[in-house]
Amino acid sequence: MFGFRCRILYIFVNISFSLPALRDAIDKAFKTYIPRGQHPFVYVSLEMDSHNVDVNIHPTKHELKFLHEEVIMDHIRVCFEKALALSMPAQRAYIQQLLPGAPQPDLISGDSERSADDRVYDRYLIRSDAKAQKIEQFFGSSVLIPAVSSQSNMSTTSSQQGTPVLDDQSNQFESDPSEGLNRSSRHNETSESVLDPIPSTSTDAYADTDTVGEDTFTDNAITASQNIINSSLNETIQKATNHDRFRVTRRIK
Amino acid sequence: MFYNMPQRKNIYKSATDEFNRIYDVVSKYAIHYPSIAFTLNKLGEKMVLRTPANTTTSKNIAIVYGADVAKYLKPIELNDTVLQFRMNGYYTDAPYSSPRREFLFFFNHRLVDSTSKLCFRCSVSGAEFYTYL
Repeated sequence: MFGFRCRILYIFVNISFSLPALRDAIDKAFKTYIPRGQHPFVYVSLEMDSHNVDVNIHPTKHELKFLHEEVIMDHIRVCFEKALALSMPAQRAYIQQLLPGAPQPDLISGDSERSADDRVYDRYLIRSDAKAQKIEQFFGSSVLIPAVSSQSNMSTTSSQQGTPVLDDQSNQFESDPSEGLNRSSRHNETSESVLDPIPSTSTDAYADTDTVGEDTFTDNAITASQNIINSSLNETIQKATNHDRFRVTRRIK
Repeated sequence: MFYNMPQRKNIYKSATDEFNRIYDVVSKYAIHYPSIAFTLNKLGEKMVLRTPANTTTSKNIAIVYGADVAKYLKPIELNDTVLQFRMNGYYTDAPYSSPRREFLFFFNHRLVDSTSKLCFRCSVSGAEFYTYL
Protein backbone atom coordinates (compact mmCIF):
# COMPACT_ATOMS: atom_id res chain seq x y z
CA MET A 1 0.00 0.00 0.00
CA PHE A 2 2.78 2.36 0.89
CA GLY A 3 4.64 1.48 -2.28
CA PHE A 4 1.56 2.21 -4.36
CA ARG A 5 1.07 5.60 -2.82
CA CYS A 6 4.75 6.41 -3.14
CA ARG A 7 4.74 5.52 -6.81
CA ILE A 8 1.79 7.75 -7.53
CA LEU A 9 3.37 10.60 -5.68
CA TYR A 10 6.56 10.16 -7.61
CA ILE A 11 4.75 10.54 -10.92
CA PHE A 12 2.63 13.42 -9.73
CA VAL A 13 5.58 15.52 -8.61
CA ASN A 14 7.45 14.91 -11.77
CA ILE A 15 4.72 15.67 -14.22
CA SER A 16 2.67 18.40 -12.66
CA PHE A 17 3.91 21.74 -13.90
CA SER A 18 1.56 24.57 -14.44
CA LEU A 19 0.96 26.67 -17.49
CA PRO A 20 -1.61 29.36 -16.67
CA ALA A 21 -0.69 31.32 -19.78
CA LEU A 22 -2.16 28.63 -22.02
CA ARG A 23 -5.31 28.41 -19.96
CA ASP A 24 -5.74 32.18 -20.18
CA ALA A 25 -5.16 32.13 -23.92
CA ILE A 26 -7.86 29.53 -24.44
CA ASP A 27 -10.24 31.25 -22.01
CA LYS A 28 -9.80 34.46 -24.01
CA ALA A 29 -10.69 32.65 -27.23
CA PHE A 30 -13.87 31.19 -25.71
CA LYS A 31 -14.87 34.36 -23.89
CA THR A 32 -17.20 35.67 -26.59
CA TYR A 33 -18.96 32.34 -27.09
CA ILE A 34 -19.55 31.05 -23.59
CA PRO A 35 -21.31 32.89 -20.73
CA ARG A 36 -19.38 34.15 -17.75
CA GLY A 37 -18.70 31.52 -15.13
CA GLN A 38 -19.10 28.69 -17.63
CA HIS A 39 -16.24 26.73 -19.15
CA PRO A 40 -15.79 24.60 -22.23
CA PHE A 41 -14.19 21.18 -22.30
CA VAL A 42 -10.73 21.48 -23.82
CA TYR A 43 -8.11 18.83 -24.39
CA VAL A 44 -4.80 20.03 -25.76
CA SER A 45 -1.65 18.09 -26.47
CA LEU A 46 1.41 20.19 -27.18
CA GLU A 47 4.63 18.77 -28.54
CA MET A 48 7.90 20.61 -28.75
CA ASP A 49 11.59 20.01 -28.98
CA SER A 50 12.97 19.37 -25.50
CA HIS A 51 15.88 21.77 -25.97
CA ASN A 52 13.38 24.67 -26.22
CA VAL A 53 11.82 23.83 -22.86
CA ASP A 54 13.05 24.61 -19.38
CA VAL A 55 11.37 22.63 -16.60
CA ASN A 56 13.83 23.61 -13.90
CA ILE A 57 12.23 26.95 -13.06
CA HIS A 58 10.73 25.77 -9.80
CA PRO A 59 12.29 23.35 -7.30
CA THR A 60 9.14 21.20 -7.32
CA LYS A 61 8.81 21.52 -11.11
CA HIS A 62 5.45 23.21 -10.85
CA GLU A 63 6.34 25.76 -13.47
CA LEU A 64 7.36 25.44 -17.03
CA LYS A 65 9.02 27.83 -19.40
CA PHE A 66 9.69 27.46 -23.06
CA LEU A 67 11.08 29.57 -25.85
CA HIS A 68 8.81 32.12 -27.56
CA GLU A 69 6.07 31.39 -25.07
CA GLU A 70 4.00 34.50 -25.77
CA VAL A 71 4.09 34.06 -29.53
CA ILE A 72 3.13 30.40 -29.27
CA MET A 73 0.25 31.25 -26.92
CA ASP A 74 -0.93 33.87 -29.37
CA HIS A 75 -0.83 31.35 -32.22
CA ILE A 76 -2.86 28.86 -30.20
CA ARG A 77 -5.41 31.52 -29.27
CA VAL A 78 -5.83 32.61 -32.91
CA CYS A 79 -6.18 28.97 -33.95
CA PHE A 80 -8.99 28.43 -31.41
CA GLU A 81 -10.71 31.68 -32.39
CA LYS A 82 -10.69 30.70 -36.06
CA ALA A 83 -12.08 27.26 -35.31
CA LEU A 84 -14.85 28.73 -33.14
CA ALA A 85 -15.75 31.37 -35.73
CA LEU A 86 -16.05 28.67 -38.40
CA SER A 87 -18.22 26.48 -36.23
CA MET A 88 -20.60 29.29 -35.28
CA PRO A 89 -22.88 29.27 -38.38
CA ALA A 90 -23.48 25.56 -37.85
CA GLN A 91 -24.92 26.08 -34.39
CA ARG A 92 -27.57 23.56 -33.59
CA ALA A 93 -31.01 24.49 -32.35
CA TYR A 94 -33.25 21.75 -31.01
CA ILE A 95 -36.98 21.92 -31.67
CA GLN A 96 -39.39 20.00 -29.52
CA GLN A 97 -41.30 17.57 -31.70
CA LEU A 98 -44.92 16.66 -30.96
CA LEU A 99 -45.93 13.05 -30.83
CA PRO A 100 -48.42 12.01 -33.53
CA GLY A 101 -51.96 12.54 -32.22
CA ALA A 102 -50.88 14.86 -29.43
CA PRO A 103 -52.95 18.06 -29.08
CA GLN A 104 -51.41 21.33 -30.21
CA PRO A 105 -50.21 23.49 -27.32
CA ASP A 106 -52.80 26.20 -26.66
CA LEU A 107 -50.73 29.32 -27.18
CA ILE A 108 -53.73 31.60 -27.85
CA SER A 109 -55.33 31.04 -24.47
CA GLY A 110 -52.10 32.05 -22.79
CA ASP A 111 -52.15 35.28 -24.78
CA SER A 112 -55.76 36.02 -23.79
CA GLU A 113 -54.93 35.51 -20.13
CA ARG A 114 -52.14 37.96 -20.44
CA SER A 115 -54.36 40.53 -22.19
CA ALA A 116 -56.95 40.19 -19.41
CA ASP A 117 -54.30 41.00 -16.86
CA ASP A 118 -52.85 44.08 -18.54
CA ARG A 119 -55.40 45.53 -20.95
CA VAL A 120 -54.40 48.08 -23.58
CA TYR A 121 -56.13 51.42 -23.12
CA ASP A 122 -57.46 53.53 -26.01
CA ARG A 123 -54.91 56.24 -25.48
CA TYR A 124 -52.14 53.80 -26.30
CA LEU A 125 -53.73 52.69 -29.58
CA ILE A 126 -52.37 54.06 -32.81
CA ARG A 127 -54.23 54.24 -36.15
CA SER A 128 -52.20 51.96 -38.39
CA ASP A 129 -54.71 51.69 -41.28
CA ALA A 130 -55.27 54.72 -43.50
CA LYS A 131 -58.85 53.61 -44.22
CA ALA A 132 -59.80 53.56 -40.56
CA GLN A 133 -61.97 56.24 -38.96
CA LYS A 134 -60.39 59.67 -38.90
CA ILE A 135 -60.94 62.53 -36.51
CA GLU A 136 -62.34 64.74 -39.33
CA GLN A 137 -65.51 62.65 -39.32
CA PHE A 138 -66.45 64.14 -35.96
CA PHE A 139 -66.31 67.72 -37.26
CA GLY A 140 -69.65 69.52 -37.83
CA SER A 141 -69.61 70.22 -41.58
CA SER A 142 -68.75 66.73 -42.69
CA VAL A 143 -71.49 65.25 -40.48
CA LEU A 144 -74.25 67.24 -42.10
CA ILE A 145 -73.42 66.47 -45.69
CA PRO A 146 -73.98 62.70 -45.47
CA ALA A 147 -77.22 63.30 -43.53
CA VAL A 148 -78.66 65.46 -46.30
CA SER A 149 -77.49 63.05 -48.97
CA SER A 150 -79.19 60.16 -47.18
CA GLN A 151 -82.43 62.13 -47.15
CA SER A 152 -82.21 62.75 -50.85
CA ASN A 153 -81.44 59.11 -51.45
CA MET A 154 -84.50 58.07 -49.53
CA SER A 155 -86.71 60.38 -51.59
CA THR A 156 -85.36 59.04 -54.86
CA THR A 157 -85.89 55.44 -53.80
CA SER A 158 -89.43 56.19 -52.75
CA SER A 159 -90.11 57.90 -56.07
CA GLN A 160 -88.81 54.87 -57.91
CA GLN A 161 -90.67 52.27 -55.91
CA GLY A 162 -93.75 54.05 -54.73
CA THR A 163 -96.94 55.12 -56.51
CA PRO A 164 -97.42 58.62 -58.05
CA VAL A 165 -99.75 59.48 -55.20
CA LEU A 166 -97.01 58.90 -52.69
CA ASP A 167 -94.60 60.84 -54.82
CA ASP A 168 -96.84 63.86 -54.63
CA GLN A 169 -97.06 63.47 -50.94
CA SER A 170 -93.36 63.23 -50.61
CA ASN A 171 -92.90 66.34 -52.67
CA GLN A 172 -95.44 68.10 -50.56
CA PHE A 173 -93.73 66.84 -47.46
CA GLU A 174 -90.35 68.00 -48.65
CA SER A 175 -91.65 71.46 -49.37
CA ASP A 176 -93.75 71.68 -46.20
CA PRO A 177 -91.18 71.55 -43.43
CA SER A 178 -89.06 74.26 -44.94
CA GLU A 179 -92.12 76.51 -45.16
CA GLY A 180 -93.02 75.73 -41.60
CA LEU A 181 -89.53 76.46 -40.54
CA ASN A 182 -89.52 79.68 -42.41
CA ARG A 183 -92.69 80.64 -40.64
CA SER A 184 -91.59 79.49 -37.26
CA SER A 185 -88.20 81.13 -37.39
CA ARG A 186 -88.52 84.76 -36.49
CA HIS A 187 -85.26 85.65 -38.12
CA ASN A 188 -84.21 84.54 -41.59
CA GLU A 189 -82.13 81.55 -40.69
CA THR A 190 -82.51 78.47 -42.86
CA SER A 191 -79.19 77.15 -41.90
CA GLU A 192 -78.42 73.50 -42.07
CA SER A 193 -78.13 73.24 -38.34
CA VAL A 194 -81.86 74.01 -38.02
CA LEU A 195 -82.72 71.41 -40.63
CA ASP A 196 -80.69 68.89 -38.74
CA PRO A 197 -83.33 67.33 -36.44
CA ILE A 198 -85.87 66.80 -39.23
CA PRO A 199 -84.37 64.19 -41.53
CA SER A 200 -84.41 61.29 -39.09
CA THR A 201 -88.13 61.55 -38.35
CA SER A 202 -89.07 62.39 -41.91
CA THR A 203 -87.24 59.39 -43.29
CA ASP A 204 -89.05 57.19 -40.78
CA ALA A 205 -92.34 58.54 -42.02
CA TYR A 206 -91.29 57.86 -45.59
CA ALA A 207 -90.42 54.31 -44.78
CA ASP A 208 -93.84 53.73 -43.24
CA THR A 209 -95.75 55.23 -46.12
CA ASP A 210 -93.70 53.46 -48.66
CA THR A 211 -94.55 50.01 -47.33
CA VAL A 212 -98.21 50.88 -46.91
CA GLY A 213 -98.42 52.27 -50.41
CA GLU A 214 -96.90 49.20 -51.92
CA ASP A 215 -99.15 46.78 -50.10
CA THR A 216 -102.52 48.39 -50.64
CA PHE A 217 -103.68 50.82 -53.29
CA THR A 218 -106.93 51.68 -51.61
CA ASP A 219 -108.02 55.20 -50.69
CA ASN A 220 -108.23 54.22 -47.05
CA ALA A 221 -104.62 53.32 -46.98
CA ILE A 222 -103.65 56.57 -48.67
CA THR A 223 -105.65 58.59 -46.22
CA ALA A 224 -104.17 56.63 -43.35
CA SER A 225 -100.71 57.33 -44.61
CA GLN A 226 -101.62 60.97 -45.08
CA ASN A 227 -102.74 61.08 -41.48
CA ILE A 228 -99.49 59.55 -40.34
CA ILE A 229 -97.53 62.03 -42.40
CA ASN A 230 -99.51 64.94 -41.07
CA SER A 231 -99.03 63.85 -37.48
CA SER A 232 -95.35 63.35 -38.01
CA LEU A 233 -95.17 66.70 -39.76
CA ASN A 234 -96.75 68.45 -36.83
CA GLU A 235 -94.32 66.76 -34.51
CA THR A 236 -91.35 67.79 -36.58
CA ILE A 237 -92.53 71.35 -36.90
CA GLN A 238 -93.07 71.53 -33.17
CA LYS A 239 -89.65 70.15 -32.57
CA ALA A 240 -88.16 72.58 -35.05
CA THR A 241 -89.86 75.50 -33.37
CA ASN A 242 -88.72 74.34 -29.98
CA HIS A 243 -85.25 73.99 -31.29
CA ASP A 244 -85.45 77.42 -32.82
CA ARG A 245 -86.73 78.96 -29.62
CA PHE A 246 -83.95 77.38 -27.77
CA ARG A 247 -81.51 78.82 -30.23
CA VAL A 248 -83.05 82.24 -29.95
CA THR A 249 -82.97 82.23 -26.18
CA ARG A 250 -79.41 81.15 -26.26
CA ARG A 251 -78.55 83.97 -28.60
CA ILE A 252 -80.28 86.53 -26.37
CA LYS A 253 -78.19 85.37 -23.49
CA MET B 1 10.11 11.98 2.04
CA PHE B 2 7.33 12.24 4.62
CA TYR B 3 9.80 12.24 7.48
CA ASN B 4 11.46 15.48 6.50
CA MET B 5 8.26 17.28 5.50
CA PRO B 6 5.17 16.09 7.38
CA GLN B 7 3.04 18.65 5.46
CA ARG B 8 3.26 16.38 2.44
CA LYS B 9 1.48 13.64 4.36
CA ASN B 10 -1.13 16.03 5.73
CA ILE B 11 -2.36 16.85 2.22
CA TYR B 12 -3.92 13.42 1.88
CA LYS B 13 -6.92 13.63 4.13
CA SER B 14 -9.21 10.77 3.26
CA ALA B 15 -9.28 7.66 1.09
CA THR B 16 -12.00 9.06 -1.19
CA ASP B 17 -10.02 12.23 -1.77
CA GLU B 18 -7.01 10.14 -2.61
CA PHE B 19 -9.04 7.98 -4.93
CA ASN B 20 -10.43 11.03 -6.73
CA ARG B 21 -6.92 12.25 -7.42
CA ILE B 22 -5.93 8.87 -8.77
CA TYR B 23 -9.04 8.69 -10.91
CA ASP B 24 -8.30 12.17 -12.29
CA VAL B 25 -4.79 11.25 -13.39
CA VAL B 26 -5.68 7.82 -14.78
CA SER B 27 -8.69 9.06 -16.74
CA LYS B 28 -6.68 11.88 -18.28
CA TYR B 29 -3.91 9.56 -19.33
CA ALA B 30 -6.49 7.18 -20.73
CA ILE B 31 -7.72 9.98 -22.96
CA HIS B 32 -4.23 10.87 -24.08
CA TYR B 33 -3.27 7.29 -24.93
CA PRO B 34 -6.22 5.79 -26.81
CA SER B 35 -4.11 2.89 -28.08
CA ILE B 36 -3.56 1.62 -24.53
CA ALA B 37 -6.32 0.05 -22.44
CA PHE B 38 -6.74 1.47 -18.94
CA THR B 39 -8.62 -0.09 -16.04
CA LEU B 40 -9.08 1.38 -12.59
CA ASN B 41 -10.41 -0.70 -9.72
CA LYS B 42 -11.39 0.40 -6.26
CA LEU B 43 -10.91 -2.04 -3.40
CA GLY B 44 -14.17 -3.75 -2.51
CA GLU B 45 -16.06 -2.13 -5.41
CA LYS B 46 -16.59 -2.96 -9.01
CA MET B 47 -14.59 -1.50 -11.87
CA VAL B 48 -14.65 2.29 -11.93
CA LEU B 49 -12.93 3.09 -15.21
CA ARG B 50 -12.23 0.98 -18.24
CA THR B 51 -11.10 2.10 -21.66
CA PRO B 52 -10.60 -0.43 -24.44
CA ALA B 53 -7.39 -0.67 -26.44
CA ASN B 54 -7.02 0.83 -29.92
CA THR B 55 -9.87 3.34 -29.72
CA THR B 56 -9.94 7.05 -30.50
CA THR B 57 -9.46 10.00 -28.18
CA SER B 58 -13.03 11.24 -28.70
CA LYS B 59 -14.44 7.84 -27.70
CA ASN B 60 -12.39 7.87 -24.53
CA ILE B 61 -13.60 11.39 -23.73
CA ALA B 62 -17.17 10.11 -24.12
CA ILE B 63 -16.40 7.28 -21.67
CA VAL B 64 -14.84 9.54 -19.03
CA TYR B 65 -16.88 12.76 -19.36
CA GLY B 66 -20.16 11.46 -20.76
CA ALA B 67 -22.00 11.61 -24.07
CA ASP B 68 -23.03 15.23 -23.51
CA VAL B 69 -19.45 16.42 -23.97
CA ALA B 70 -18.79 14.03 -26.85
CA LYS B 71 -21.80 15.38 -28.78
CA TYR B 72 -20.22 18.81 -29.25
CA LEU B 73 -16.62 17.63 -29.50
CA LYS B 74 -14.52 18.98 -32.37
CA PRO B 75 -10.88 18.29 -33.26
CA ILE B 76 -8.30 21.03 -33.61
CA GLU B 77 -4.80 20.92 -35.05
CA LEU B 78 -1.95 23.37 -35.43
CA ASN B 79 1.52 22.79 -36.87
CA ASP B 80 4.04 25.57 -36.73
CA THR B 81 7.32 24.94 -38.50
CA VAL B 82 8.82 28.32 -37.64
CA LEU B 83 8.33 28.08 -33.89
CA GLN B 84 8.76 24.29 -34.03
CA PHE B 85 5.74 23.14 -32.13
CA ARG B 86 2.77 20.93 -32.85
CA MET B 87 -0.61 21.11 -31.20
CA ASN B 88 -3.55 18.80 -31.50
CA GLY B 89 -6.59 18.45 -29.32
CA TYR B 90 -10.35 18.51 -28.89
CA TYR B 91 -12.69 21.24 -27.80
CA THR B 92 -16.44 21.58 -27.29
CA ASP B 93 -18.54 23.89 -29.41
CA ALA B 94 -20.33 27.00 -28.19
CA PRO B 95 -23.63 25.25 -27.22
CA TYR B 96 -21.85 23.23 -24.57
CA SER B 97 -20.68 24.86 -21.37
CA SER B 98 -20.38 23.66 -17.80
CA PRO B 99 -19.65 25.47 -14.54
CA ARG B 100 -16.80 22.99 -13.94
CA ARG B 101 -13.57 23.71 -15.69
CA GLU B 102 -12.38 20.70 -17.64
CA PHE B 103 -9.03 21.52 -19.12
CA LEU B 104 -6.65 18.73 -20.07
CA PHE B 105 -3.20 19.79 -21.08
CA PHE B 106 -0.40 17.48 -22.10
CA PHE B 107 3.05 18.81 -22.76
CA ASN B 108 5.32 16.39 -24.58
CA HIS B 109 2.91 13.58 -23.63
CA ARG B 110 3.01 14.51 -19.97
CA LEU B 111 0.01 15.75 -18.05
CA VAL B 112 0.19 19.37 -17.00
CA ASP B 113 -2.00 20.19 -14.06
CA SER B 114 -3.32 23.68 -14.64
CA THR B 115 -6.26 23.66 -12.24
CA SER B 116 -4.77 22.72 -8.88
CA LYS B 117 -4.39 25.17 -6.06
CA LEU B 118 -0.69 24.46 -5.95
CA CYS B 119 -0.14 25.89 -9.36
CA PHE B 120 -2.09 28.97 -8.35
CA ARG B 121 0.19 29.47 -5.38
CA CYS B 122 3.22 29.15 -7.62
CA SER B 123 1.90 31.63 -10.12
CA VAL B 124 1.17 34.14 -7.36
CA SER B 125 4.85 34.12 -6.49
CA GLY B 126 5.82 34.44 -10.14
CA ALA B 127 5.09 36.92 -12.88
CA GLU B 128 1.68 35.39 -13.65
CA PHE B 129 0.25 37.00 -10.55
CA TYR B 130 -1.16 39.89 -12.54
CA THR B 131 -3.26 37.70 -14.79
CA TYR B 132 -5.43 36.77 -11.82
CA LEU B 133 -6.25 40.34 -10.88
